[in-house]
Amino acid sequence: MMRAAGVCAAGFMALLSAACATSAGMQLGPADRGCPDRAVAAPGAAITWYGPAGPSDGKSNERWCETVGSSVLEPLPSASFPSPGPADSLAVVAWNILIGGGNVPLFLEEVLGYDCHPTSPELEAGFSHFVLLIQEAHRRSEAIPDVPETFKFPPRIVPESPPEGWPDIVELARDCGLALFYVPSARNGPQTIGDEREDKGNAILSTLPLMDLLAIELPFEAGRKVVAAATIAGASGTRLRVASVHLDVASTLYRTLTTANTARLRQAVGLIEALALIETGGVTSGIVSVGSGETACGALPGTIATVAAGDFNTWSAGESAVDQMRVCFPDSPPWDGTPTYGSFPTDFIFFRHAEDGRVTYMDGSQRRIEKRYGSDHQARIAWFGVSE
Amino acid sequence: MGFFALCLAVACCLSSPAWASGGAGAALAQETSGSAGAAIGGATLGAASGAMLGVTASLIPCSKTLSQLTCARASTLSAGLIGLGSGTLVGAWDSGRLGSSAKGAAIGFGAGAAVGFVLKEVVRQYGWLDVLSTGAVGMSIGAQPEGAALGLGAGLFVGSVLWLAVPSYGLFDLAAAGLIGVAAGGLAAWVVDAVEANSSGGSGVTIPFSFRI
Repeated sequence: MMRAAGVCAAGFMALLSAACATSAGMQLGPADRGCPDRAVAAPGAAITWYGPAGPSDGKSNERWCETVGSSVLEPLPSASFPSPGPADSLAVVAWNILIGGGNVPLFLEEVLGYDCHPTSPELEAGFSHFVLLIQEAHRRSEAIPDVPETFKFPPRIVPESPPEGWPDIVELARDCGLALFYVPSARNGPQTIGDEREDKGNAILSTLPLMDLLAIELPFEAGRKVVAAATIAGASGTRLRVASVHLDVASTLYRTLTTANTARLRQAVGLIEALALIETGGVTSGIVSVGSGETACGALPGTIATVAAGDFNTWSAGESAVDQMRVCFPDSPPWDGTPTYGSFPTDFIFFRHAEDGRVTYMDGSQRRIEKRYGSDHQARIAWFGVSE
Repeated sequence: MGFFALCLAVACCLSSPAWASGGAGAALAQETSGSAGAAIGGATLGAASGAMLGVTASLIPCSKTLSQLTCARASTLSAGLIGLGSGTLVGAWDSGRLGSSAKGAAIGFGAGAAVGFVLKEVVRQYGWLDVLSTGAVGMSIGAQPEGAALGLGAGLFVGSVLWLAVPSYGLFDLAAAGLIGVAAGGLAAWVVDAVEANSSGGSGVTIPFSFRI
């Protein structure tokens, strides 16, 4: 009998050591998935997709992406902006706008000196070009598929007091004359309002043209999250890749226990892996072993300076997802000790320079924007410059 | 995921008529041969309860290290081993004591599953696996309720003192202190049970642990 107890114990330990095994291998594509967001509402434009290699992640993501509309790209700003000069800086903002609850035009006017007037938008003298990395952008459209309620829908979020007209991200970009790249992650509820439905996701709004568009579908936890990334060109041929990131706030209890609460770390590693694959042009997986303490960020510094910023939904600034991002984005602004969502430090700006080191973070320029402008998050802003 | 297979097995055991009709160790003892059967039951319950306590305690502290998974595994394995050893000894020496732990575990499982069921109805992403998960957490606490409660109190007290004294210590850390307290209290109770089962004279079963130097 004691032998049986020993066998039981050995079996238990074997089972336990197999538990919590997670992997966030990423791959190019999958291109064969027939989800509407693979299409992009712009002639001749193409998005390169990356996603988790595991079949379980892929299946879960697919169940969600069937409900959303196409991605949206307006690569050129419709307003006319001066070309950036060598001495010009670039402001990068990370902001979760709570499904359009955040008053983007007012933010642009007060923080970035940009008047969003629909007929004659104007960037005040002395203010720099900017890129807004937006999370929880929403879009209304008749083209969003009308699918049965048995599909995967998160509940609809409606901001308490949205700005006048409650413009969606496409209307905002058009009204402000900005370049736009929007990738929907999920529906904003199953409802049809009038003839339209809503989806939500990450977006980039910019005064500079957007190129080399990437959509990175993160490992699935509680909901589908897709990073929107693009490259902007600065003065003297400099380039900066910007990525709008939104990680999950929490997984289910079952996943939390069986993956040892690594939800956000797994998603952060997925992003890092995808960026490393993009740098190397590789298509295989297994660069980083999640949660083992190993760190492999691909080649550092890479060929292109990169900002990855957004709502990381972290509960503490010392969380492993943040630490992992800092390891792979070693030139990031330090955390300033201020929370951005109630008492939680959820929003971050991470940066790594390229081999040439020409695009740099302007030391001490990162700060939290004190007003919420109708969102439930405060924005973060940092400035980047070009050194010759 | 294998860990949960074990929890499922324990849950099935706990919900069987044999458990309902009497003490866990006693039921097992009747079905197998004497208290050695109870030792197996104790090993299973102790390991499952300990491992669940270990993983629960690790959730927040381990999320603050890049070796998060290694940290959580170490916590789960250590706590599982403590539970396994203690449970085996309790089962072997005092099947009545194991019976009350099993009864508490069954009640804890039911209470946890009930909470999980409510969550399943309210929280969009929750499914039956989450009901089972809350049941498993309830089982781990229910097996040693006094120790877990005392541990929770001690953890929250220490956490509150730190929260008041250390500016960088937040509410999230306070919650972590509470969870660690629950786990530490539950595990301590398993160890105390094993010691007390031994000192009460035991049931006469010899545990063949020996060391050759």
